[in-house]
Amino acid sequence: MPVEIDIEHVARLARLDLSAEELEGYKDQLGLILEHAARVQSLDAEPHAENAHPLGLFNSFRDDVVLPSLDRDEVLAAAPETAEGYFVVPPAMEGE
Amino acid sequence: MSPMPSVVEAGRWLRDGETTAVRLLEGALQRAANCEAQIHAFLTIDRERALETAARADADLADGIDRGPLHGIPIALKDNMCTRGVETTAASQILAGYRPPYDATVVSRLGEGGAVVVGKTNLDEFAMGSSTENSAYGPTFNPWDITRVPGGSSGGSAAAVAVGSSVAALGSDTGGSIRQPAALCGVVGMKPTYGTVSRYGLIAFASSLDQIGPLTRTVEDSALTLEVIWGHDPLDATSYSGDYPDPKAGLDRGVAGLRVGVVKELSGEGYEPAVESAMGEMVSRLEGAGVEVVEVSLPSFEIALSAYYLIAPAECSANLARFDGIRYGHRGQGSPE
Repeated sequence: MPVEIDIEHVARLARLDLSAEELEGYKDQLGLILEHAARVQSLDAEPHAENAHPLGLFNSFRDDVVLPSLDRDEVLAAAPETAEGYFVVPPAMEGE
Repeated sequence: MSPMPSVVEAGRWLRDGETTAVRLLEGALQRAANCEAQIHAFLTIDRERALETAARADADLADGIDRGPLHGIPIALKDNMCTRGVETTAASQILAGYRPPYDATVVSRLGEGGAVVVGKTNLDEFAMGSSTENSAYGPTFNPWDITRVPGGSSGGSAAAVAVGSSVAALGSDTGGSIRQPAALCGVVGMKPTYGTVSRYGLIAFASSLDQIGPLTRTVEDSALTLEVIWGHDPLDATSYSGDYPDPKAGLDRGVAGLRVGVVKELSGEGYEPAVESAMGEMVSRLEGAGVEVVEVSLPSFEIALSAYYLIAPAECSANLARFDGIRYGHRGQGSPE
């Protein structure tokens, strides 16, 4: 069951500058992946809902109390760039 | 092949005074020194730290403090488990030089249990692979035949136990990454039930599938290791908080009287004839030992791989988004303005 893909749109979203040849190749590969998805979607999983988790776990929350956390300096020591107790990150917005 | 004892044997020698934790560790380190050039099971060996831990284990035993079945036992850790102050790379250049500010829960539990960490073992980068060829630091080789792969992604842990550079090891399994390398290296590998071993401090691949488990020389060692690392952990929201059984229960019972299912869909087209015949041989052996072997059918089996390859990449793309160079590790140069 072939799936229609606007591969140029997908490449734009991923900020990938692809050649016409690459676009064609990725379109084929992505198509195969989406066929897998379509196969899985064709299954009726509803009757097996109780098998979705072996132990039937639900979200678990701890008590809402303040506990000691990791040492700030130790955490920041792993970062490529820091200043005054913060991570320094590359600019994400355009302009000055 | 391995000159190393099992966990059970080593534990007995330690308590009988026939060896010490330091001597066991030195044996493992010597074996690693002899084999690493051919096998490359390890990414990091912190000799000084390991010797300190072993000496402490000996001192504790001398003082009558016995921390349990892994006390004084050399154990190797797959390098996707965080070790405080010890480089943890997940076999990726992205994390080269990363020294976590905390221990994974399994690492804390091993520490409380008196285990001695020999080193951090090689894996396919971020545990994605089945051969340990896809490590940024070079492949691991199968100790039984270095022209073959050890399996993966916990290939370093499997090879370290097989060759005897460690008595036991921990690996992680998302879609076979403990069980398959264990099979390829001739050791015992187990993926525990999801939720029974904490994932806190395990560098995530696919969170709804990831599970840490033991790679050992014997089934009994597997049970003893599991007993130390499993149990409820409030730091992992998917950790099971109910009762845990005794994993050693039934070890002496043998296999007679067990009923074993053989999956119908796991034969025929697409399977290596050698694998099928080995499977047939195992079925005969089990039947000879008094096991009732029955054929079972898993009709949705053919869709399993498709489901895996949707769930695992979707979860890993969410998990790995954090490796953007902001909080830790490598920041790429020349990113688009």
